[in-house]
Amino acid sequence: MAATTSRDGTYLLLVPAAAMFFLFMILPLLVLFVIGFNPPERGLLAVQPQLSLENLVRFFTNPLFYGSLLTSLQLSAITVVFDVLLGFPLAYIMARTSSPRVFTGLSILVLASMQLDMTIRLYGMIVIFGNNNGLINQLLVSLGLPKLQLIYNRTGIALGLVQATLPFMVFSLISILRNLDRSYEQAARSLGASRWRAFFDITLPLATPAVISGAVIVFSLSISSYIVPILLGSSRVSTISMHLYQQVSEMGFWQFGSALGLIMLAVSLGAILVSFSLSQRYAGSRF
Amino acid sequence: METSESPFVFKAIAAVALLLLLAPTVVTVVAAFNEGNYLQFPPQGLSLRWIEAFLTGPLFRESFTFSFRLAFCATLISTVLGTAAALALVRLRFRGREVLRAVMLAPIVLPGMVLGLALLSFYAAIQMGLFRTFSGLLLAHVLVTLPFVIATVGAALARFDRSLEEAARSLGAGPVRAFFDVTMRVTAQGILAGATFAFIVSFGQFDISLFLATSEMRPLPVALYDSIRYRTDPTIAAAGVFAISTVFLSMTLVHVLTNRKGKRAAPKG
Amino acid sequence: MRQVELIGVAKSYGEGPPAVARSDFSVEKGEFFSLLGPSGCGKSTTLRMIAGFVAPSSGTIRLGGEDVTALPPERRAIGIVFQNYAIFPHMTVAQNIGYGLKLRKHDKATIAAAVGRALEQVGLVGYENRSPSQLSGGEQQRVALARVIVLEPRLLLLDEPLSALDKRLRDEMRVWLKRLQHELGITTIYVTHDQDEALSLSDRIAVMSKGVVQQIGTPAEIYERPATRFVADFIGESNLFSCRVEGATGALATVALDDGSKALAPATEAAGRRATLMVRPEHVLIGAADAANRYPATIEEIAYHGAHLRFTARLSPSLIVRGERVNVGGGMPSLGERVTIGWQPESGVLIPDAP
Repeated sequence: MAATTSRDGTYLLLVPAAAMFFLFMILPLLVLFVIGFNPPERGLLAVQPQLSLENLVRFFTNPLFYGSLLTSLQLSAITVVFDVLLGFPLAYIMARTSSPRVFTGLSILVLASMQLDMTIRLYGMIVIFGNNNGLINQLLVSLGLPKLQLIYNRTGIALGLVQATLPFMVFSLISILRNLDRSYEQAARSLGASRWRAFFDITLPLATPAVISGAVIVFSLSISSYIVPILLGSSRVSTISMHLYQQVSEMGFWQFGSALGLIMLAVSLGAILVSFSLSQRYAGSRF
Repeated sequence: METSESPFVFKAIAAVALLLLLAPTVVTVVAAFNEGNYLQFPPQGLSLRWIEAFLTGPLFRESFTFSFRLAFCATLISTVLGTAAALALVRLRFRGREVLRAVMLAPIVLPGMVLGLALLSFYAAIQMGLFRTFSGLLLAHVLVTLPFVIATVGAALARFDRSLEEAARSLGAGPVRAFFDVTMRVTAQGILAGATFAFIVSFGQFDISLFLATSEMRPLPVALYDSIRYRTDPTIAAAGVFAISTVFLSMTLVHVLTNRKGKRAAPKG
Repeated sequence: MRQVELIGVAKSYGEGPPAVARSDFSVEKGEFFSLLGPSGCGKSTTLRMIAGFVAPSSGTIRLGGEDVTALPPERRAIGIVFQNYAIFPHMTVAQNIGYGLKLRKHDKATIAAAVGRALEQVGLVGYENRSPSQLSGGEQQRVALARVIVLEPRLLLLDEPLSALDKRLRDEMRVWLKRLQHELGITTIYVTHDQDEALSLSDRIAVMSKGVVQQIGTPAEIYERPATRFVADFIGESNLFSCRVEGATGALATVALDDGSKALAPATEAAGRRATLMVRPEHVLIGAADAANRYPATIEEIAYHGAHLRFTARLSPSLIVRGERVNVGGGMPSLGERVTIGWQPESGVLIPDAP
C-alpha cells in the first residue's frame, strides 16, 4: 500500500466527479426531501418554507396508497425468490464449467440481455405472453387448450421483473461461485455427502453472501421499477411507482409524489442496511 | 470432465432462465421482419415494411438520433470525469474514501425514477436553465453513467502494475506525461470498456429520462414506452432492432479494440 | 493383501495428449505409497480418479478387492486431504471433524466423543470451538487429517499436503505425518512433486511423467537403479552419458561414450544396444587410484555447500562430469587443476534407451 502524498495533486482529480455527485445527486435528493414534507399544493413545483406531515399521513391512512406499497413489496419479494431459483443454477453452471468458451459465451448472453433497452424487452414479453395474440396463447389455442391470462396482472409484472433483474442476480452469484474452491465440495463428497447434500451443506452456505447482495440489488430494482408494472400490469394492480408517476405527471401533486419517492428510497436504503448487517454476520465465512 | 459436473436439474432450470432472458429480444427481431400486424408461428413471411415505417416515420427515427446524441455526449463527459475519479480512488488513501466510493456508485441502486423526480424539482428550484433543457437531461445521464465508468476503470487501474508508471517517472517523465504515456495506454481496455458501458446505459436509460424528457427531446426508450402503452405496433420492434444493433455493435467494437490493445499491452505469458 | 489396484486406468480430455495414458499399480494394506512427478505428469488426475472426482476414460479401480470405478466419491470410504485443506470455513473445528459422522447419522454424544479422540490423535485438544480462520496452516492440516481419520477410511489420499507450509513446519509435519500413518496403519497414497518427501516418507514410489508410470519401487530402488532416463534425471543429481554397449566380459560390460572414451559398467544390456550410463555425483572420486574407470580431467567449477563440496570436471571437449564429496576437511582441488577422476564400474547403472 503506497500512500500517495496529498501534494501531488491527485486529490484534484476527484473534484469534478465529487462536485457532480454533490450537485446533481445529494442536493436534488435534499430538495426532494423538503418538498416531500411541504404541505400539498396542486400544480406547485417549488420549495416552500412550511413543513408538514400531511403527505405521509395521507399515504399511511389511505389503503389505496399503503396497499400499493404492500403490492410492490410483495412483487419484489417474489422476484427475489424466482431470481434465486432461476439464477443460482445458471450461475453455478457458468462458474463450474471447465470450458472457457462456454463461460464466455454464457456471460455475453447474460450481459447482452441485461444491457438491452428495457422497453424493447418488454415489447418482446408482450409478443410472447400477450393475452390475445401472444405466442404462448397461440400455441395453446392450436392445441385446443384454453388461453391463459399471463400479463396485465400480477403474474405479468412478476414475469417482467424477473426478466429485468435476473442478470444482476446471476452476476452477483458468479462473482463468488467462481472463487469458491471446488475442493470444499469434493471434501464433503469424500466424507460421505451425496451431491445434493454437499450442495446444501457446503456450497449454498458459502454462497450466501452473494445471494444476499444479489437479493438487495434485485429488490431495489424491483421496488422502484415503473416501466414493468405500467406495461405488463393493469389498473387493478397498482404499485407505488405507478402512483408516483400518476400523482406527479397526471395530477400535479408534486409534494405527495415526492413523499412517495422518499418512501421508495427509504425501502431501498432499508434493504441495503439489512443486507449489510447480514453480510457482516457472514463476514467470517467469506473467503 | 469432473464427475461433479452440474446436475441435470440445474441444466434444465438454467435453460429456462436463458430462454426467459433471451426470448424477448429474439422475438422482437423476428417481429420486426415479419409480414403481419402481430407475430404468428410459423411467421407469415419476410417483410421490410416495419423497418421502412421506422425509417420514414419521424416518430422513432428522431428519438433514435436524439438518444444517440445524448448517449454520445454523456459518454464523453462521464468517461473523463469517471477516469479521473477512479484514478484518485485507487491511488489515494484517506478517511472517508469508502464512503465517497459508495456515494459514487449509489446511482446504480438508487431508484432512477426518484432521482429523475429529484432532479426535476431541483432544476425547477435553482432556475439556472436546466429545467426541461438538454443540459439538464444530459447532466442526469452523466450522473447515472458515471458509476459504471468508475467501477470498470477502477478495476482496470487496480490491476495495473504501478511500477510501470514509476519506471516512466524515473526515466524522466512528469506525472501527467507518465499517466498519458504509460498508465492510460496500458489501462486503455478498461477505459474503453467503461465508456462503452456508459454509452449503453445512457442509450437504454428509461427511469431517469421519464420525468426529464419533453415532447421535443424524447429519448428512444421514452418514445417506445409512450407508444407501447397504447398499442403494440411492429414499428416498435423495428426501432428495437436498431437499438439492439447499436448495443451489439458497440459491444463488438469494444471487444475488437480491446483485444488488439490487449495483445500489445500484455506481454506477460 | 492388495488394498488398492489400478488396472489400465487412463484419462483423456478431448483432443491433445491424455492426462493419464495408462496407470497400473497396486498398493498393499498399510503401505505408504507415493505418486511422484513434475506438475502435469498425471499424478493428481490419478489421485482424483481414485477419489472418484474424475471418471477414468478406461480401466478399473479396485478398493479392497471391490470394483469402485463407477462408485460416486461418497460411497468409496476414502479419506482425502487437499492441498488447501478445504476446511469448511462456515463450520467450527468440531463441526468439520464431525461432519462425516453426522452424515452417517451417529448421535451427538458419539460424534462428540469421536471428535475428542481425533483431536487428541492430531494434538489439537481443546480446539473444538475454534473457527477455521483462527487456525495456522499446520493446524488446518491437522484438522483436515482428523476429519478423515475419524471415519477410519480404507485409504488415505494426501494431495501435496505439505506444499502450502513453510520449510521448517514442513519438515516437522513430515515426521509427524509418517508417525501418525504408522500408528494408525492406514493405507496411504501421497501425491507430491518433492522427491525428498517421497524418498523419506514412502514404502514405495511410483514415478510418473507425461501421464505414464515410469517406475515403481522402493525409494532405494528408484534412486539406485532408475529404470528410465527420466527417473535418473528427475530423482537426485546424476551424470547421464549416452553410450553404446560394446561387449561383456563376465559381470561387466565395456561401453563407448559419445566422445570415444570407454568405461566399464554392470552388464545389464546386450552388446550393440544404445543406452544411458548413469553415475551419481557422490560416486565420482578425485584421485581414484583403485577405480577401474579413470580419466584425466580439468576442474572447471567448485561450489561450497557447507556439508558438501560439489565440483565439475571436464574430461574432453564434449564430456563433463559432476562430482560431490562430503566436506570432512582435507585438500580440495583448485580451479583449473589437472586431476584424475574416476568411479567404480559397479556404481554405474546402464539404462536402456527407449526403443
